[in-house]
Amino acid sequence: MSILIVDDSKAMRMIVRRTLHQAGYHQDLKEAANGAEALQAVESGEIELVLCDWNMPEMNGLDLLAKLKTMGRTVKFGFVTSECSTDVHMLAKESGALFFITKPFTPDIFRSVLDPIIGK
Amino acid sequence: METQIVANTYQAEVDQIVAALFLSMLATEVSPTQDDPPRGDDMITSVMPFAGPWKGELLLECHRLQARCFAKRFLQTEEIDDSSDDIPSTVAELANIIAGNLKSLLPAGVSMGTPSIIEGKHYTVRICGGKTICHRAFATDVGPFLLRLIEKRENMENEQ
Repeated sequence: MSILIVDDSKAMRMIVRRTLHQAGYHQDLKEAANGAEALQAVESGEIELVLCDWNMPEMNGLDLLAKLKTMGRTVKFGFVTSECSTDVHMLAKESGALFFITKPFTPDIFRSVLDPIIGK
Repeated sequence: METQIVANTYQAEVDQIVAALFLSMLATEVSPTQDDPPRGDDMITSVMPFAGPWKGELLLECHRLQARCFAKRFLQTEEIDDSSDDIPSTVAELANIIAGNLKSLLPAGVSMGTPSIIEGKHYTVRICGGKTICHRAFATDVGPFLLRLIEKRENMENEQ
Protein backbone atom coordinates (compact mmCIF):
# COMPACT_ATOMS: atom_id res chain seq x y z
CA MET A 1 0.00 0.00 0.00
CA SER A 2 1.13 3.56 -0.70
CA ILE A 3 1.29 6.87 1.08
CA LEU A 4 0.16 9.88 -0.92
CA ILE A 5 1.72 13.31 -0.28
CA VAL A 6 -0.50 16.16 -1.48
CA ASP A 7 1.02 19.64 -1.57
CA ASP A 8 1.14 22.35 -4.22
CA SER A 9 4.73 23.10 -3.17
CA LYS A 10 7.25 20.81 -4.82
CA ALA A 11 9.78 21.74 -2.13
CA MET A 12 7.41 20.69 0.62
CA ARG A 13 6.55 17.42 -1.11
CA MET A 14 10.27 16.64 -1.21
CA ILE A 15 10.65 17.46 2.48
CA VAL A 16 7.65 15.39 3.56
CA ARG A 17 8.98 12.49 1.47
CA ARG A 18 12.43 12.81 3.05
CA THR A 19 10.98 13.08 6.56
CA LEU A 20 8.85 9.96 6.00
CA HIS A 21 11.99 8.07 4.97
CA GLN A 22 13.90 9.40 7.98
CA ALA A 23 11.01 8.34 10.20
CA GLY A 24 11.30 4.81 8.87
CA TYR A 25 8.37 4.69 6.47
CA HIS A 26 9.60 2.88 3.41
CA GLN A 27 6.23 2.29 1.80
CA ASP A 28 5.74 3.34 -1.78
CA LEU A 29 5.42 7.13 -1.67
CA LYS A 30 3.34 8.90 -4.29
CA GLU A 31 2.89 12.64 -4.83
CA ALA A 32 0.09 14.91 -6.00
CA ALA A 33 0.47 18.63 -6.66
CA ASN A 34 -3.25 19.42 -6.32
CA GLY A 35 -6.62 18.01 -5.35
CA ALA A 36 -7.44 16.70 -8.82
CA GLU A 37 -4.22 14.69 -8.99
CA ALA A 38 -4.88 13.40 -5.48
CA LEU A 39 -8.37 12.19 -6.42
CA GLN A 40 -6.93 10.41 -9.42
CA ALA A 41 -4.29 8.71 -7.26
CA VAL A 42 -6.84 7.60 -4.66
CA GLU A 43 -9.08 6.28 -7.44
CA SER A 44 -6.28 3.87 -8.31
CA GLY A 45 -7.09 2.09 -5.04
CA GLU A 46 -3.51 1.70 -3.86
CA ILE A 47 -3.43 4.55 -1.39
CA GLU A 48 -3.53 3.66 2.31
CA LEU A 49 -2.81 7.06 3.77
CA VAL A 50 -3.04 10.66 2.52
CA LEU A 51 -0.84 13.41 3.97
CA CYS A 52 -2.35 16.63 2.69
CA ASP A 53 -1.55 20.33 2.84
CA TRP A 54 -4.33 22.60 4.10
CA ASN A 55 -3.90 25.65 1.87
CA MET A 56 -3.87 24.82 -1.81
CA PRO A 57 -5.24 26.74 -4.78
CA GLU A 58 -8.42 25.51 -6.52
CA MET A 59 -9.19 22.62 -4.16
CA ASN A 60 -7.90 22.99 -0.60
CA GLY A 61 -7.22 20.07 1.71
CA LEU A 62 -10.57 20.28 3.42
CA ASP A 63 -12.39 20.25 0.06
CA LEU A 64 -10.36 17.22 -0.98
CA LEU A 65 -11.32 15.37 2.21
CA ALA A 66 -14.99 16.21 1.65
CA LYS A 67 -14.77 15.08 -1.96
CA LEU A 68 -13.23 11.75 -0.96
CA LYS A 69 -16.04 11.22 1.54
CA THR A 70 -18.65 12.01 -1.11
CA MET A 71 -17.03 9.48 -3.40
CA GLY A 72 -17.21 6.90 -0.63
CA ARG A 73 -13.44 6.50 -0.42
CA THR A 74 -12.38 5.31 3.01
CA VAL A 75 -8.74 6.29 2.94
CA LYS A 76 -6.86 7.36 6.07
CA PHE A 77 -6.42 11.11 5.82
CA GLY A 78 -4.54 13.77 7.76
CA PHE A 79 -3.06 17.20 7.34
CA VAL A 80 0.57 18.35 7.21
CA THR A 81 0.41 22.10 7.26
CA SER A 82 1.72 25.36 8.64
CA GLU A 83 -1.79 26.18 9.90
CA CYS A 84 -1.50 26.23 13.68
CA SER A 85 -4.71 27.89 14.83
CA THR A 86 -7.12 26.01 17.08
CA ASP A 87 -10.16 26.72 14.87
CA VAL A 88 -8.46 25.04 11.92
CA HIS A 89 -7.48 22.01 14.01
CA MET A 90 -11.04 21.64 15.24
CA LEU A 91 -12.45 21.98 11.73
CA ALA A 92 -10.08 19.30 10.49
CA LYS A 93 -11.05 16.95 13.30
CA GLU A 94 -14.77 17.55 12.76
CA SER A 95 -14.29 16.81 9.09
CA GLY A 96 -12.82 13.42 9.80
CA ALA A 97 -9.08 14.03 9.58
CA LEU A 98 -7.19 11.50 11.69
CA PHE A 99 -4.22 13.72 12.48
CA PHE A 100 -2.81 17.20 12.12
CA ILE A 101 0.96 17.66 11.82
CA THR A 102 2.10 21.26 11.91
CA LYS A 103 5.23 22.63 10.29
CA PRO A 104 8.01 22.75 11.25
CA PHE A 105 8.11 19.01 11.92
CA THR A 106 10.72 16.34 12.60
CA PRO A 107 10.91 12.59 11.90
CA ASP A 108 10.10 11.99 15.59
CA ILE A 109 6.83 13.91 15.23
CA PHE A 110 5.93 11.87 12.15
CA ARG A 111 6.62 8.63 14.04
CA SER A 112 4.60 9.62 17.11
CA VAL A 113 1.61 10.64 14.99
CA LEU A 114 1.70 8.06 12.20
CA ASP A 115 2.80 4.88 13.97
CA PRO A 116 -0.54 4.40 15.76
CA ILE A 117 -2.40 5.07 12.52
CA ILE A 118 -0.67 2.88 10.01
CA GLY A 119 1.27 0.53 12.27
CA LYS A 120 4.74 -0.67 11.46
CA MET B 1 -11.01 55.58 20.36
CA GLU B 2 -8.64 53.76 18.08
CA THR B 3 -6.21 51.33 19.64
CA GLN B 4 -2.63 52.46 19.30
CA ILE B 5 -0.55 50.07 17.25
CA VAL B 6 2.52 48.98 19.11
CA ALA B 7 5.75 48.69 17.13
CA ASN B 8 7.16 45.19 17.01
CA THR B 9 4.00 43.48 18.09
CA TYR B 10 4.57 39.71 18.33
CA GLN B 11 8.35 40.26 18.45
CA ALA B 12 9.01 37.51 21.00
CA GLU B 13 6.73 35.07 19.19
CA VAL B 14 8.26 35.84 15.79
CA ASP B 15 11.77 35.32 17.20
CA GLN B 16 10.74 31.98 18.67
CA ILE B 17 8.95 30.76 15.54
CA VAL B 18 11.82 31.73 13.23
CA ALA B 19 14.49 30.19 15.47
CA ALA B 20 12.57 26.91 15.77
CA LEU B 21 11.88 26.72 12.03
CA PHE B 22 15.44 27.38 10.91
CA LEU B 23 16.94 25.05 13.48
CA SER B 24 14.58 22.15 12.86
CA MET B 25 14.27 22.30 9.08
CA LEU B 26 17.48 24.01 7.90
CA ALA B 27 19.84 23.08 10.75
CA THR B 28 20.68 26.78 10.88
CA GLU B 29 20.96 28.97 13.94
CA VAL B 30 19.47 32.44 13.66
CA SER B 31 19.58 35.40 15.99
CA PRO B 32 17.91 38.80 15.87
CA THR B 33 20.12 41.58 14.52
CA GLN B 34 19.87 45.31 13.94
CA ASP B 35 21.20 44.95 10.38
CA ASP B 36 18.65 44.62 7.59
CA PRO B 37 19.88 42.95 4.39
CA PRO B 38 21.57 45.59 2.21
CA ARG B 39 19.21 46.63 -0.60
CA GLY B 40 19.98 46.81 -4.28
CA ASP B 41 21.45 43.43 -5.07
CA ASP B 42 19.45 40.50 -6.38
CA MET B 43 16.70 40.17 -3.82
CA ILE B 44 13.78 37.83 -3.32
CA THR B 45 10.65 38.55 -1.29
CA SER B 46 7.82 36.23 -0.34
CA VAL B 47 4.49 37.83 0.54
CA MET B 48 1.95 35.88 2.59
CA PRO B 49 -1.51 37.46 2.78
CA PHE B 50 -3.90 37.26 5.74
CA ALA B 51 -7.61 37.95 5.32
CA GLY B 52 -10.70 37.99 7.51
CA PRO B 53 -11.00 39.77 10.86
CA TRP B 54 -7.29 40.69 10.67
CA LYS B 55 -5.89 41.78 7.35
CA GLY B 56 -2.29 42.13 6.42
CA GLU B 57 0.81 40.57 4.97
CA LEU B 58 3.91 38.82 6.18
CA LEU B 59 7.00 39.57 4.09
CA LEU B 60 10.23 37.58 4.12
CA GLU B 61 13.10 39.22 2.23
CA CYS B 62 16.67 38.14 1.57
CA HIS B 63 19.36 38.07 -1.08
CA ARG B 64 18.91 35.50 -3.81
CA LEU B 65 22.31 33.91 -3.09
CA GLN B 66 21.28 33.54 0.52
CA ALA B 67 17.96 32.07 -0.56
CA ARG B 68 19.90 29.53 -2.61
CA CYS B 69 21.80 28.48 0.54
CA PHE B 70 18.50 28.18 2.39
CA ALA B 71 17.08 26.03 -0.43
CA LYS B 72 20.08 23.69 -0.33
CA ARG B 73 19.66 23.22 3.40
CA PHE B 74 15.86 22.99 3.32
CA LEU B 75 15.89 20.40 0.54
CA GLN B 76 19.16 18.81 1.64
CA THR B 77 20.73 18.88 -1.79
CA GLU B 78 23.66 20.67 -3.39
CA GLU B 79 22.05 20.40 -6.81
CA ILE B 80 20.36 23.77 -6.89
CA ASP B 81 21.63 26.19 -9.49
CA ASP B 82 21.02 29.91 -9.39
CA SER B 83 18.00 29.76 -11.69
CA SER B 84 16.29 26.85 -9.94
CA ASP B 85 12.60 27.12 -9.09
CA ASP B 86 13.50 25.52 -5.77
CA ILE B 87 14.83 28.90 -4.60
CA PRO B 88 11.56 30.88 -4.75
CA SER B 89 9.69 27.75 -3.70
CA THR B 90 11.80 27.52 -0.54
CA VAL B 91 11.42 31.19 0.35
CA ALA B 92 7.67 30.91 -0.21
CA GLU B 93 7.45 27.85 2.01
CA LEU B 94 9.50 29.45 4.80
CA ALA B 95 7.17 32.47 4.78
CA ASN B 96 4.18 30.14 4.68
CA ILE B 97 5.35 28.23 7.75
CA ILE B 98 6.10 31.41 9.72
CA ALA B 99 2.72 32.88 8.75
CA GLY B 100 0.92 29.68 9.68
CA ASN B 101 2.50 29.68 13.12
CA LEU B 102 1.81 33.38 13.61
CA LYS B 103 -1.81 32.90 12.60
CA SER B 104 -2.57 31.21 15.91
CA LEU B 105 -1.83 34.56 17.59
CA LEU B 106 -4.20 36.51 15.36
CA PRO B 107 -7.97 36.77 15.88
CA ALA B 108 -9.98 33.59 15.25
CA GLY B 109 -11.29 33.33 11.73
CA VAL B 110 -8.25 34.82 10.01
CA SER B 111 -7.39 32.94 6.82
CA MET B 112 -4.13 32.69 4.93
CA GLY B 113 -3.74 32.96 1.21
CA THR B 114 -1.03 31.43 -0.92
CA PRO B 115 2.41 33.08 -1.12
CA SER B 116 3.54 35.41 -3.90
CA ILE B 117 7.18 35.89 -4.87
CA ILE B 118 8.91 39.07 -6.02
CA GLU B 119 12.42 38.84 -7.46
CA GLY B 120 14.75 41.45 -8.91
CA LYS B 121 17.08 44.36 -8.21
CA HIS B 122 16.38 47.78 -6.72
CA TYR B 123 12.72 47.18 -5.91
CA THR B 124 10.65 48.23 -2.95
CA VAL B 125 7.58 46.39 -1.70
CA ARG B 126 4.89 48.69 -0.38
CA ILE B 127 1.58 47.34 0.91
CA CYS B 128 -1.08 49.95 0.26
CA GLY B 129 -2.96 50.99 3.37
CA GLY B 130 -0.64 49.04 5.61
CA LYS B 131 1.51 49.72 8.63
CA THR B 132 4.48 47.63 9.73
CA ILE B 133 3.74 46.32 13.21
CA CYS B 134 6.72 43.99 13.42
CA HIS B 135 10.09 44.47 11.74
CA ARG B 136 12.70 41.87 12.60
CA ALA B 137 16.04 41.18 10.96
CA PHE B 138 17.80 37.89 11.67
CA ALA B 139 21.46 37.03 11.28
CA THR B 140 22.55 33.67 9.89
CA ASP B 141 25.91 32.26 8.82
CA VAL B 142 24.99 33.18 5.23
CA GLY B 143 23.82 36.72 5.94
CA PRO B 144 20.79 38.51 7.33
CA PHE B 145 17.17 38.23 6.28
CA LEU B 146 14.22 40.42 7.10
CA LEU B 147 10.69 39.70 8.27
CA ARG B 148 7.96 42.31 8.26
CA LEU B 149 4.41 41.90 9.50
CA ILE B 150 2.15 44.54 8.00
CA GLU B 151 -1.35 45.21 9.24
CA LYS B 152 -3.96 46.71 6.94
CA ARG B 153 -6.94 48.64 8.21
CA GLU B 154 -9.56 50.68 6.45
CA ASN B 155 -8.55 54.34 6.19
CA MET B 156 -5.05 53.52 7.39
CA GLU B 157 -2.40 55.58 5.65
CA ASN B 158 0.82 54.05 4.43
CA GLU B 159 3.25 54.10 7.32
CA GLN B 160 5.86 51.66 6.17
